[in-house]
Amino acid sequence: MAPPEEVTFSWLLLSAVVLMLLLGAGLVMFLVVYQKRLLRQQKQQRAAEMAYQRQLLAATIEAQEYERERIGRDLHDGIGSTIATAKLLVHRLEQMVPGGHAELFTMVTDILSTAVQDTRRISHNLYPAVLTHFGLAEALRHLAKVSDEAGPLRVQLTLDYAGLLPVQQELALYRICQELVNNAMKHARGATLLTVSLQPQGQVLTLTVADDGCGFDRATLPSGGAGLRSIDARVRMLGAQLLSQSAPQQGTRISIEIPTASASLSHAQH
Amino acid sequence: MVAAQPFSVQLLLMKASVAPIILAGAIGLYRWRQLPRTLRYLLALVGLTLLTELVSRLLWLQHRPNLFLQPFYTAGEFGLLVLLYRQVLRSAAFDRATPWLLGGFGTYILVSSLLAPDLAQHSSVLRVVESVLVLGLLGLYFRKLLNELTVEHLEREPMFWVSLGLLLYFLGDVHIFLFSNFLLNYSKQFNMTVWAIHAVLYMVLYCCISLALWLPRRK
Repeated sequence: MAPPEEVTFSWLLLSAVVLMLLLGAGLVMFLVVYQKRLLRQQKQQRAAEMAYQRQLLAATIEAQEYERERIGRDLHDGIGSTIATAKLLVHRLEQMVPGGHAELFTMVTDILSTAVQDTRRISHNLYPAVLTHFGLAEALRHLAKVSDEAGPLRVQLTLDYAGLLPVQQELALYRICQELVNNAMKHARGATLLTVSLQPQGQVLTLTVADDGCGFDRATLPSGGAGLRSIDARVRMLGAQLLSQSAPQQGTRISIEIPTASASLSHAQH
Repeated sequence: MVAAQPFSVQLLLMKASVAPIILAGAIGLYRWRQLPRTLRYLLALVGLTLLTELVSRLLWLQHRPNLFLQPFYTAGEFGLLVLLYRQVLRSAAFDRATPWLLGGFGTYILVSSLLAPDLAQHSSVLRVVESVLVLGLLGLYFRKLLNELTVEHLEREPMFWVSLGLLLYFLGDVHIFLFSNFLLNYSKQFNMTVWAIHAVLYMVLYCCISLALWLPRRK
């Protein structure tokens, strides 16, 4: 006996409704799973791009430092030595030429002495040999001493550094400090004291450069010259964080926080 | 719409279907200040539904016909959903199409209401057309979710839950609306069962809307 039409139709309609609901639920589940997969792939791609950008940045800075070292060494060993030799020869000439022209010889000797000092200073600024020979602490002491003697501000240095970072990171940190000190010397109008400190704070090593000068309003500051861009690049290369506090007439305080855990990891990789 | 019936599970479900709507309305009013503009359209939809339910039940209690409310409710529901998804999709093309969608559907409802010989049959056709259009809106939303990948946790996204609820409701109900008039003449018992299923889908939709209104705003 054939089933009544009513029962057949009711099963058909119910099946159609259930099928549509299952289709809808299936579609949504597929959407959720597929979206999560796409998100994961996007994150992986972004992480790979960032890693590549960091590697590129590190390679660029390394190339820059290599060139600086080469030029600094050539200046010191080449031109510096040549000028020093010329100074000696002038002194010998002064002794050989009888009487007279003493003033002229003194002037020439002074000019050559200045040239030797300038060459040494430029060579040291280009590449701090103290850092490679004696480490970051000594390099910062030397930088503070030279800046204190030559610059308009008194420089006070506080150091508590146990040599945690590899050489490339120490060099990057030194460059940041050098740039910050130069900026303070140039732009901190009315400042009398510049404090530089390098101290560990938990899992983080903090470099702080602060002055009691005129300060600046970040909103009105132009987007940044080469110096600030170089600081920014090195901060990114170190995986560090830059904290800046400044306001007009309230001095400036800039801190760089470097995670020492990542330093020990990169040290292990080398 | 339906004459008084002795107690049954189907009748209980149909009577209880208003509960999630009241819940959604209460949550929406409680969180009114924290709701973004998108979800305020949703609250307006809940308000329209509650108002229609109230008027419809009052008329039913007085044994008066209430089917005439269907075209007004359908037009209002579709209009609010289009405005809601316009805010969500943020597409210039959809913005240009919105007046045509609203105007076109509104005109269709008006013309067909005036010309339709049978209000019951007309209401079912309206709901089928609305279902197809809303499913199209949902397709656009899900496509945007996959293309833009701006939402990291779908389960925390209110519009995901709204769209899920709408998808299940309209996918499930499109067949019910298609055969609703056929069922009336065929079997009263089966007719009640099918409308009970509709009531369950209705409750699922408004539970999803309640959840969407309750979720905290994404920063």
